[in-house]
Amino acid sequence: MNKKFFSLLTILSIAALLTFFNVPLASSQGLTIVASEFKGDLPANDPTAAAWQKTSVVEVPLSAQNVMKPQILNTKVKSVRVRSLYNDSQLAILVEWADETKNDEMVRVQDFRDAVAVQFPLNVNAPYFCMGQQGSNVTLWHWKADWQADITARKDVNTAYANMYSDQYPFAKGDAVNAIAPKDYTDPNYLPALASNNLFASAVRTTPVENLIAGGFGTLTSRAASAQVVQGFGAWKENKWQVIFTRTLTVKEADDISFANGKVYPVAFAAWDGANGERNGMKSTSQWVSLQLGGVAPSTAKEETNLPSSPEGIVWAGLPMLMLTGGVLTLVALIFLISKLPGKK
Amino acid sequence: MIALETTDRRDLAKHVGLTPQLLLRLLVIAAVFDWLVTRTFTRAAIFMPKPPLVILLYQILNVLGQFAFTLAGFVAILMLTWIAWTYLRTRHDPLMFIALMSLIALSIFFLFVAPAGVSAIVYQLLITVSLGLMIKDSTRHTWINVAAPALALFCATLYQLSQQLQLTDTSLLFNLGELFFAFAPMLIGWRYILPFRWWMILPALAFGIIYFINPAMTGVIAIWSTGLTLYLPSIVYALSLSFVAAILIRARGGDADSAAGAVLLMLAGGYAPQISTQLFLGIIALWLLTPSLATPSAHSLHSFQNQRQPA
Repeated sequence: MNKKFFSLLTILSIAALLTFFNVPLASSQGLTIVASEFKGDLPANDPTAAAWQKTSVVEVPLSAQNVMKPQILNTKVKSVRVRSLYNDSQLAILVEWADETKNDEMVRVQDFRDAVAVQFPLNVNAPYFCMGQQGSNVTLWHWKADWQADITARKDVNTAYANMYSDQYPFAKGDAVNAIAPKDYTDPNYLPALASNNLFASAVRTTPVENLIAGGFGTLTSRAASAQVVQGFGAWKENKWQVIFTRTLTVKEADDISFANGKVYPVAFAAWDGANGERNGMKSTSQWVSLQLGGVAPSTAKEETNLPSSPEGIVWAGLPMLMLTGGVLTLVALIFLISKLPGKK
Repeated sequence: MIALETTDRRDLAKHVGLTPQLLLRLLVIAAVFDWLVTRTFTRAAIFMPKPPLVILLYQILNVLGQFAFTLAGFVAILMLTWIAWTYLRTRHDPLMFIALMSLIALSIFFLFVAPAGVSAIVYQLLITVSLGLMIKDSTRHTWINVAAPALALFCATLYQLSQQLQLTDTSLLFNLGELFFAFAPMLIGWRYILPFRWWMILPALAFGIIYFINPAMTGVIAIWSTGLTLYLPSIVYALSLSFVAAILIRARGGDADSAAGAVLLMLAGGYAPQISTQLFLGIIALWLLTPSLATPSAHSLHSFQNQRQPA
């Protein structure tokens, strides 16, 4: 009996220590996206490049966002397939999903765009997967199909309504009766959105990806124009979108994510099917999966242990240990009692 | 056969003071706690109001849940190692021993190197081989118990293998596996449903009510908790829950011990296991349902208990 109790206590103590030091015992069955190292320039504008076939693909399931209203419970995008490559300076992520229609215009109020987003947490511990939470922000790379189309040719109201008529633009030069281009304005301050570097008013798109930050529902904020450093390329072919996100491994901003070889990062995805009226929070979203740069795992869990170092933090470190110890003792007592129950045939 | 099994059990008890029965009970408790608390109750937090007391409660539950998760993983590895050892020693089945030990070794290896490419394919193939050998172990009378959960795991493994091989349009495999998983409790527990008692319908009723009130929330919680997408008619899942209740209640009477342990481990592992611990729980559940030299009878847990414990 003493030997049994001691063995049981040993098992429970080992489990408690493993828990406290965040040592994992369960490995992923395949929802880790392994970014392969690539020598040379990444195929940032070619989703069909042979290089993408040299890295493994992971199918990430999506489900409708159903926590906050408004919501669409029957979203169309059920999963995305993800691959990733990196070299010594950049990271590229290729996201593919099935979509029967190409929705890349958002001029009319009844039109909605196809889009896809990649989300990374900005803290060590991944927050709530849907837009983060208060005190734990996430960074988002949001590719938009209409922005992609704008890179080729900027669309405006006159694109959708070719026969539209405008009366007069008093602050514009020229005699055009249709929509006046921003360049025709004598004073750009009469285009306040453009003058304040509002990305949506931008006359020229330099990237189809918007770089944003969020800390919970309703807090989504576009980063400054100078921080729009994520490049993208998307193409729709044979009922499938293929979108590539590309960014440097490191950035200057303190509240943005930097990547390093060998590290593992939580990542989540969201997708919108414009034909289904999906926009804003009405989307398909995934839970956190893992993105690992390279095949060799990073250093031990000790680096990622979130132990506070200040004196008041000792309470926060000690409290879980006290709970664990109490839990262990309770469990041992329970098992001891269960083992004392009379056996039945 | 019983002498060999007794020798194994006595060896383990003599050296470390533990019986496989005790390890199994510890595993079931830890796995069920992890399933119900960590993967179900705490994830339902997004639907709950969050005053400070609720947040504190969830923080405590999170810590306990993490402990249960680690304990389940640790004991699952120990249990599977013991199972592999008994296959080698009592049944002289080196193939099963190698398959199971390779699975354990690879799962530990994947803690350091993420599964990708050839290693991931080999891992999935090893799972397939282990499942095939376990089905082969089942007898004419017990294959119906084993078939459904084994096929569920088999389909899920093939689906994940198809992802590694970059095959498309394999969602049918996933759906087929879920069908087997949903029907498994019915096939395991059909002999325990009679005589029918009114309380057996309670879990089904609870599921039906929740599903009727908020199908979206129920679907999300179900997929987080068990990996099931609920694509089948809800009556299937409701009936399945009734059979689970019947098995668990009969186990208290000592009649369905192995089946109860197996069903609990199966539910705790979930469908289409996403981590190695969940897979091991599924394999151990199959082992409990597969009478062989390693498990002398269908009532193995109680037969372990009833034999005299060594000093």
